[in-house]
Amino acid sequence: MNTDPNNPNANPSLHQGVNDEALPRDDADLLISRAVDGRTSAAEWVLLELAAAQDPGVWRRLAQAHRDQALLVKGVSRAVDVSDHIELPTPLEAERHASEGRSVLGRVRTWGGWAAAAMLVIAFVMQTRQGPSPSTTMPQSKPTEAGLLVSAADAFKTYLDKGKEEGRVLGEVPDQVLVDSRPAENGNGYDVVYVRQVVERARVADLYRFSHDEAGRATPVRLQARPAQGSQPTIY
Amino acid sequence: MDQQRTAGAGGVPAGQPPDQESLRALWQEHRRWVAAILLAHKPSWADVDDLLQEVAVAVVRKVGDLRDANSLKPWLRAVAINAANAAARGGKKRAASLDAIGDSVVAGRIADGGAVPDGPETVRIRDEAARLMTLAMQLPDGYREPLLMKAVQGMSYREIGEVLGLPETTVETRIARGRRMLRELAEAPETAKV
Repeated sequence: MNTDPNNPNANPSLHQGVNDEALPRDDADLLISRAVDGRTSAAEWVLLELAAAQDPGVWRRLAQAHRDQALLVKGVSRAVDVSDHIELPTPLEAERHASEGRSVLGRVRTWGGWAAAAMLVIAFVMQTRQGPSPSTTMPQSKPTEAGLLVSAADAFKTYLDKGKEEGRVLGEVPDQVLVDSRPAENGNGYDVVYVRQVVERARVADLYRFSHDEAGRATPVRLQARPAQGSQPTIY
Repeated sequence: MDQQRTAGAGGVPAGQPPDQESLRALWQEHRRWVAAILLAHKPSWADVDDLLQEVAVAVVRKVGDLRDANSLKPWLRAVAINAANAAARGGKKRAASLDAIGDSVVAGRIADGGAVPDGPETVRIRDEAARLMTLAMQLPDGYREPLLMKAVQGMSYREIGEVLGLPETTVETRIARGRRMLRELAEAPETAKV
C-alpha cells in the first residue's frame, strides 16, 4: 500500500473491492441518502414518492437511514471530540518524540476530566529561599501511634490526612491514569502501572506561563495576580 | 506556484519553514476529520487521541516539505492511516492485556463515584450509537471511511472527495451504498454478524 507519509504525492489507495459504478438517478438508496443529507431536489422527491408507491418499505428505510445517521454522528462525535484537546507539539518536542520513538507522547492513557486540566501549562516557581516546592518533595513519613508505618498504603494515607489538616492537600483525584499493563508473570491477573494524583495547594510568590517567542522557543511569561472581588485570587 | 499555499487561510507557504501560528490554524482546521480517518482505520483497542498525537508530530516535522497545496489533505490522510497501521503492527501484543483490564478500570472509576451516572435514555442512545459504530467498522474500508467522515458535522461531499482523491459523485455513491450495507447489517440476525 502506498502510504508514505513523507511523500506529498502519496495518496493511499484503499478503494479495492469497492463498487464505484454510478447508481441510477432513481435508485431508492441514492434518493434516501440524498434525503438524509438534505440534498434532495423537488424532482427527486417525486422520484422518491414514486419508488415508495411501488415499495412502501422505502419510507421505513428512509426513517431508518435518518436514525442511523443521527446515531453515527453521535458515535463519531464521541471519538472525534477528543481532537479538540490535542494541540500541536513545539518543533523541539516533535523532534524529541521522533528521535525517542513512541515513548514521549501518547504513552499515558487518561480517563475523565482530569486530562483537560493536565493540559494547562502553568508552572509555579518557588523562591529559592523558601526551599524546594512542596509538590516536588516527598512527604515526610511520620510514625504512627505504634511508632511504625506498616505499609506504603498506611504512609500514603497518613500523608493525605496530615496534608488535609495542614491545608496543603485538597484531595485525591478519583480517576487513575493507566500507564502500562501486562499479564503477570505467574499468569495470575495483571501487573498494572498507574498514576494516583493528589491535588495540593501552595502559596507561591510568582506564577509563570510558558509561551513561545517568534523563534518558537519556550519563554516563561510572568502572570500578574490580584485579589478578585471575592476572596479567590484571579490570574490576569 | 512557488508561493502556493497549502491550507487556505490557515495555510503554510510551500517549501518554507512554517510558523507556529500558521501550523496551529492548519491543525485546528483539519484535526477533526483526521480523527475520523483514524477512527476508521485504527485497531479497536487503540485510542484516537494517542494516534492523533502521532499525526500532530508529523505535521510539525513534515508539513513544510509539501510542494503542492492540493496534496495537504491526501498527505494528512496518509499520515493518519500510517499511524493507525503502525499501532496495529506494534500493539498486537499489548492489545489483549489492555482490552482485559480497560473495562474493569473504568468500571472501578465509576463505582468510586468518579462520574455522574447518565439517565436511562442517554444510556440507551449511547448504546445504540456504540452498536452502530461497531457495525460500521465491519464495512469495507472504501465505504467505512467516507461514511464516518460524513458523520463529522459540517463535512461536505466535496471536502470528503478532496481527502480521498475522489470525485464528489463517487463519494455520494459510496456513502449511499455504505448506508444501505449498514442498514442491512443492523437488520441481519445476530448470528450473521462478525
